[in-house]
This record gives sequence, structure tokens and C-alpha cells, in this order.
Amino acid sequence: MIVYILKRIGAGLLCLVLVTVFVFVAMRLVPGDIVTVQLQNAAGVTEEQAQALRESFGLTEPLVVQLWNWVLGVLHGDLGNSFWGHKSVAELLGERIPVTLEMGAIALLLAIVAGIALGIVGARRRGSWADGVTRIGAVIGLSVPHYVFALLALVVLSTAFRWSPPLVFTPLTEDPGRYFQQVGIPIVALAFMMTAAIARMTRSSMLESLGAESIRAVRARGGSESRVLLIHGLRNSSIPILTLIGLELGAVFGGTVILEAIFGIPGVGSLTYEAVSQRDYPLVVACAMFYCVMYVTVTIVIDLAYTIIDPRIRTAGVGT
Amino acid sequence: MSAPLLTVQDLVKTFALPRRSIRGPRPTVQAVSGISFRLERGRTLGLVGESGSGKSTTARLITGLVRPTSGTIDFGGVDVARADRRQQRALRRRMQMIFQDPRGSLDPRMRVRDVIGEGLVVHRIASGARLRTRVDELLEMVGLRTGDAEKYAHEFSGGQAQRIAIARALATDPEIIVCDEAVSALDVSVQAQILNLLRQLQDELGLAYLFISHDLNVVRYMSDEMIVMYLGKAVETGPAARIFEEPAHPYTQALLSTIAQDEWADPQSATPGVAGEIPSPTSPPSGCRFHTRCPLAFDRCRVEEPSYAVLGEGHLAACHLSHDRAAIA
Amino acid sequence: MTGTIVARAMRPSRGSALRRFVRNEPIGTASLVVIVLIVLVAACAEWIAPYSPFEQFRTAILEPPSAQYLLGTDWLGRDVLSRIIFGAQTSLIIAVSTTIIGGVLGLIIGVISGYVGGVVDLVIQRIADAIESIPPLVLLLLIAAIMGPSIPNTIFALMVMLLPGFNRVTRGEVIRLKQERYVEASRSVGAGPARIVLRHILPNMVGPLVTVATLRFAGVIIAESALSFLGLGPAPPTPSWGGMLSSGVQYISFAPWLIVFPAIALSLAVLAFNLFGDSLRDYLDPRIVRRR
Repeated sequence: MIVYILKRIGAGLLCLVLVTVFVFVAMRLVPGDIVTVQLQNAAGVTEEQAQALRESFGLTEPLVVQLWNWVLGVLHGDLGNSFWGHKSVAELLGERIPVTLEMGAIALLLAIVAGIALGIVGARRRGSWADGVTRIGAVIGLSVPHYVFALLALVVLSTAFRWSPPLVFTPLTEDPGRYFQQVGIPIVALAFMMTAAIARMTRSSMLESLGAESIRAVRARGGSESRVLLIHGLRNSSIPILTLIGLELGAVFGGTVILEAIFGIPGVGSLTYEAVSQRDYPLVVACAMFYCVMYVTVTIVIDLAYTIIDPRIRTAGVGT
Repeated sequence: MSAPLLTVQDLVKTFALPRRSIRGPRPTVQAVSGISFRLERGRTLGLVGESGSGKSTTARLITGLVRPTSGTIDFGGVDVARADRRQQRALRRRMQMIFQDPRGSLDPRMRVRDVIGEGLVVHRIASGARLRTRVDELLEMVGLRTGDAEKYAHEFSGGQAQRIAIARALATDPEIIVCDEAVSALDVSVQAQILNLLRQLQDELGLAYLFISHDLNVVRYMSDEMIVMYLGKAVETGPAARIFEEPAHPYTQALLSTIAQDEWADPQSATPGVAGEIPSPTSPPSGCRFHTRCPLAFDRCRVEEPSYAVLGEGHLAACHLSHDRAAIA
Repeated sequence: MTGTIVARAMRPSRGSALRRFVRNEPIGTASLVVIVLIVLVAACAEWIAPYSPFEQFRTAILEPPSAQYLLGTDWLGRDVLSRIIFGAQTSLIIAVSTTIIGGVLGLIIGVISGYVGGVVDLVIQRIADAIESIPPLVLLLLIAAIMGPSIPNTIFALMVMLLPGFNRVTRGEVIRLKQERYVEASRSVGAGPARIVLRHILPNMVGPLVTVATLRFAGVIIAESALSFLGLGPAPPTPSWGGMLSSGVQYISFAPWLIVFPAIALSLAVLAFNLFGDSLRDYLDPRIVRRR
């Protein structure tokens, strides 16, 4: 068990290393680096000045040396400074991480609750119009990309209600009303796909458990219908749902990038986008690392959850 | 004629198992622990044992599909165990194998013609028209129709599929055919047909068989000589007829008692055959490996591994009791 | 045994296999029809589209849908319908190229990884895992931003995204097939690794590979549109659905058709591929009982 966790963490670390090296090397292969971008609009800058700027960023050192310096820095908790404005990368990230995490967590919660609820409804009232609508909705939900959904929502809102979301960010704690006005659509967009997938999965696995022998036995003993459904059905569906979440994660993270950029939300996603377009190497690397860490952590948590829910998996040996 | 076709000496195969914990050495299992035998041209050597006795591993060691940990396998002057690529290929031509699952051993996406002809293609023996003729010949030899060549393997019954497998094995004119449970997955009536086919081919072509099975009746029918294996060791070897008449090793005796039972089809009969289950190969019992299930075991059996007692006419048994008997005889 | 069943499902005669599919998978068939339509539209874009996607009608800027311009015009006076049709062409070309090239590469790598095993396998798998733990879009961002917006670069970026998935499937299949009895039989006949891979393993792998490719296809289309949306895909003025969406954002309140129609086209295409992929997977699954 411990061995397993250690192995996974080891794999995660290796992954981080690979990603970092890749990003590091790749970004420096680009013709036209941060300096060119920064000096784009400044006319009459001499070559020497540009070189001096490069030196100050440490860009003139050989690649390996740069990598080494950076690694040393990380080990000391220093992720370097952003090339723009010289703010510490760690600081920048620190500001933005809570925003994205908050958004993601709310979306996830929404998706799970709504998905399970819809799945249950679909299973119980199988064949009814509510079920039909849910199923069609689910299929559509799986096909419309996050940002397209968000855009369509914007279209509807702006043409039908002449309303558009605020562009200045207010944190949840300060003013929930405005917060949700701005972040509401992205959250729903993020949750939509996952809700659809979860609803579909819940419905089918509920239907399976409804037919199972054990359920019939409980019914025979006189257990109430809803209780039967809820407890047994849910327990059986929890594993596939967990799997689903793990699979959809990647898409969700990707979604945050675009959605944050569209709606002007200061999270890690929009930071990543800005950093990439500005060739801000330390920032890009740090953002990539953030996503990796998140992904690996969540995967490990999910695997652990598997073993708690279904002890059989633990003894069989989770993943090899 | 006098020199044996295949001589196996002290063959050992140890497998390493996946680690259970980080610390400590990797657990190993010794599937085959020092087996030796000879196979003569045109004769059948039967290999008998429960599952886990190491007989299938032995088959794969002989044909070179698995490399032995130690020991020699002398086939016509070449040591199969240490042969290089080129030599191995040449050896594969002369030694073929038939497997237990007839349909599983045939690629479901290949036509029968290609399945049988694979050996001819790989060893560049024939191609084009000559290949077709040869395949037709082989089909007839095993009792199928030439029209069957265009069909797919899964269109045939178990018995027919096994005939296809036999045709494939015959394609390269081998001298030895290793039959690994070749009839175990077939219906009893079909079994008889295939066994008779094998014997007929042996007479016609002078083939030598290494016949592996857990079914004693089948082994009795086919074998000239025989080896009884238990947990990787040969516990009794010798002429098949003799062993069936006078089994010397308690394990062989117990196995034979189960066939005797079938003859009067009474499931409630007294002797339960071999008691208990085969121990785990990762930690074989000390001394004589059979002592945990042997009704005749005594102190010496737990401590000392018995050597082979010579009982006359090439009959050997690895049992302390046999030594006493041999001493008396 | 599964090999036998799959073989039965995929046996030669094309006609009957298609007929069986139609009978068993109504939704799949419907989506197949839509897909064929989309492909036809994309292939015959030059003949179907009423106008050139690049032609600017200066007198008809930001016009709502009308008889003359069926889906309206954009801020440069270009016909939206024509741009959507040509956009289909762009998206399909990119998606198909990505899937084919990525598929072949993933196949080769998966075969090497699975058949050779050992250290090579370990290294390749670790790298694949690392690539997979970056969320797809972030990965695409990195690559596309580095390489600049253009069609070949987009294909490259998308391919990198697809590779680990293909690699995993092919490797899994290779490992499974390696254990099959007939592979062992082939070895004992004397076949070398090359022949075994080409003759026995590859043909038996086609089914799952095709299924994976189809399932991923929709994702590729989505990813490509996301890239175009962020300005990292095919460079303007090449029409692409994502690009149309992103430029349409600023006109959202008074020219919503610039967003709505590309969005519908995109969603429809993705929907069709998703449904088809799902039903193809179900159809090829030997465990699901179906009427024959």
C-alpha cells in the first residue's frame, strides 16, 4: 500500500522533471525570445542594450547552466522572477492559484451533485420525458466544448437580456453576487460536460443495480424504494464516477485556460496564456508544473478513494 | 540408429517472480529441477504429471522457446540451450510442437493454407505452386480435404483444427514433434482419432514424439518410454509397459489407482487417489518432494532427497523404498 | 477466444458488415450519415460554397442572414456560410492528418514498446505518462506557441497530444497478443520477430486501433478549434471554426450570427463523431449481445 503511493509519487516527480526540462528547452529554441517581445515597441534600441537585457535575465548562459540555476532555485523555494515586471513567479502563482482552485472546486461539486441527481431521475423515471430530455442533454453536453458553450450562453444573454458579465474580478468572499455574475458562466460551462458524463454513468449503473439480485433481496425484505436506490445504487456507481472525474480532469484544466482568458478571471489559466504569448519562461514553466502537480495529486487521491470504497481493489494491487 | 536423437542432461529452469516487497531477494520458482532423458528416433517418450509438475516448461525448453537456467539439450550434435540465432532456426525446422488448444494455436485471421505453409515460407523451403502442392499433400496426410485450404481456422471443429496444427507441424519434415497436451481439450471420441493419426504418421514418417499429458490412459496408449514428473523432478522413468504393470514410486502408484477406479465408474470408491494438493513450487518440501502427500513416507523422506534406484531394464525410481527393493532384488 | 469473435465481426465481405451495423446501431448509422455529409461538403467546398471565403464585400459588412448571404456576413464583408464550409475543410484536413500520422506513429512506438519490452518499454512509458499528465490544452499551448501558428505546426501539436493515448492502446494490444497461443506456435515453427509482428500481431490489432482513432477524432476537432480560438492554429485568413468564434466575440451583442453558426457547425460535427465512435465501439465489443 505504502509502496504503491511511493511509486505513484515517484512517477509524478519524474513527470514533473520531464515536463520542466521539455518546457525549458523548448521555449529557448524559439526564434525571438522574451527580449524581442519586450522591446517590440521600443524603437531605436541598440543591439548592445538588447544583449544587456538578455544578460540580466541570464539568457546568455548555456542552456544547461540556466537549467541548473533554476533547479537550485526551486529547491530553495525560489521559482525565479517573471521577466515582465520582475515580480516573483511564486508570488504571481500564489495570487492566482486560489482563484482557479475555487472555480474548479465549485464546478466539480456542481457537476457531481447535478450529475448524480439527473442520473437518479433518469433511472427512476426511465422512459419518461424527463429521462429523454436528460439523455439528449447529456449527449449534447458531451459534444459541445466548454468555451463554445460559454460563448453561446453569452450570445443568448446579450441578445435576449442585454446583459454581459462584469470584467473586473471580485473575489467570492467580498461579493458573492458579483462573483457569480462573472464566474457563473465559466463554472457552468466547465461543469456541463462533466455533469453530462456523470449523469449518463449514474443512470446506467443505477439501472444495473436496480436489476441486481441483492437489490431484489432488500426489496423483498421491505426496504423502501428510494432507500434501496440511493444506498446501493450510489455505492456501485461511485467507482465509475471517480474514474470519469479522473478522465475529464484534463479537459477541465484545459477549459480553465480559455475560459479565464475570455472572462477576464485572474486565475492560473489566464496567467498561463499570457505567459506563453509573452515567452515568459519562468512563468510558463511554473504554470506547467502547477498543472502537473494538480493532475498527479488528483489521480493519486482518486486511486486512494478506489481502495477505500472497494477493498477488493486494494488487495488486487492498484495499477502496476 | 543407435545414437539417440535427443539427449537432455540435468535440465533446470528457474523463473523469477515479480517482487512482493522492496526489501529482500526476488522470489523464484524452480519449474524444472534437473531432468535428464533420451529420445530415440521413431519412438514416443511420454511425460506425465499433474499441472505444476513442470512438464509444459520442459516442452518449451526442448523446443527452444524458453532458455534453460542450466543443463544441456543435445539435438543432433548441437546444444539447443546455447545455440545462436542461425542454429536455432535450423533446429526449429527439425523439431515442431503441437499445443493443447487447437483453435487458439491457429491465427484466426489466417487462411488454413497460410497457417500450414508458414513453416515452408519461413525456412524458404517452398513457394508459389510448389507451396500449394505441398500444403495439399499435408492436408491429405492428416485426413482433411484440399478444399479446406481456403477456409479460416475458426471454421473448423476442435478435432479438425488439431489436424491442421499437425499438418503445420509436418510441413518442415521434422524429426521430433513435441505434443503438449495435444488431445486434452478434445472430446473422447475425437481423441482416439487424433491419437491414431499420430501413430500412423509415426509409422509412415519415422517421427519421434515427446508426448506430454496428465491423462494416463492416453500416455499408456502412445508411449514406448515414459517419465513421471512431480514438482519439477522426474520421480520415475522407464519403459511404459513396465511402469504401468509395476509402478515403483508411491506417486505413480497413486496416479495409477485413479485410472483403475474409472474402470468400474464408482465415484464413492475407497482410495481417493493422490491425497492433498500439490505444494507451492516457490517453496518445495525438504528432502523428498513428495513426502507431504506420500502414504508411505518415513523419517528419512523428510530429510534426504532420494537418488535413482535402478530396478532393471532401464526402470528407475527416485524413492528410498525402491532402493531397499532394488537391494533385495 | 476474443480474437476469434473479433475476427468473426470483421470478416471480409464489406457489404454484410455494413448491413449488420445499420441494423444494430441506428444512432450510429444516423451519425455516420451526418459524417459522410460533412466530409462531402468539405471535399466539394469549392463547388458548394456560394462565395469564396476570402472575398470581401465592402458594401455588406456585418449583415444578418439574408437571401443573398444565407448565414450573414462578417466585419470584412465575407460570407459566413462559405467560411463555415471552408472551415470544415480546414478542420477535417487537420483532424484526418493528425489522426493518421499520429496513429501510424503511435502504432510503431507501441509495437516497439510492447514487443521489445524491458528498459525501452519503461522509458517510453514514462515519457508517455509525463506527456499525458499535462492537460491537453496546456500542452497544445506550449507547443503551438513555440512553433507559431500554421497548419503543419497545429498538426504536430495535436499529434503530440494524441500519441500517448494511441501508444497505450497499441502497447496493450501487443502485449496481449504476444501471449496468444498462435504467436507462440508461430515462433516454434521458426518465425522471426519481424514476421510475427507483421503477420500475426498487426492484423489482429486493427479493430481496437480503429475504435480508438474514431473516439479520439472528435477530441481532435475540439482541440484544433480551441487552438484556433486562441490564435495559435491555422493563420488567418484561412477560415477555421475556432478562429471565427474568437473574432466573433467582440461583435457578440449586435452580430450574434458570427458566433452561433460556427458554434452549431462545430458542435454538430463533434456530436456526430462522438456518437459514431461510441456505437462503433459498442458494435465491435464482443461482450455485448446483439441480434445478428
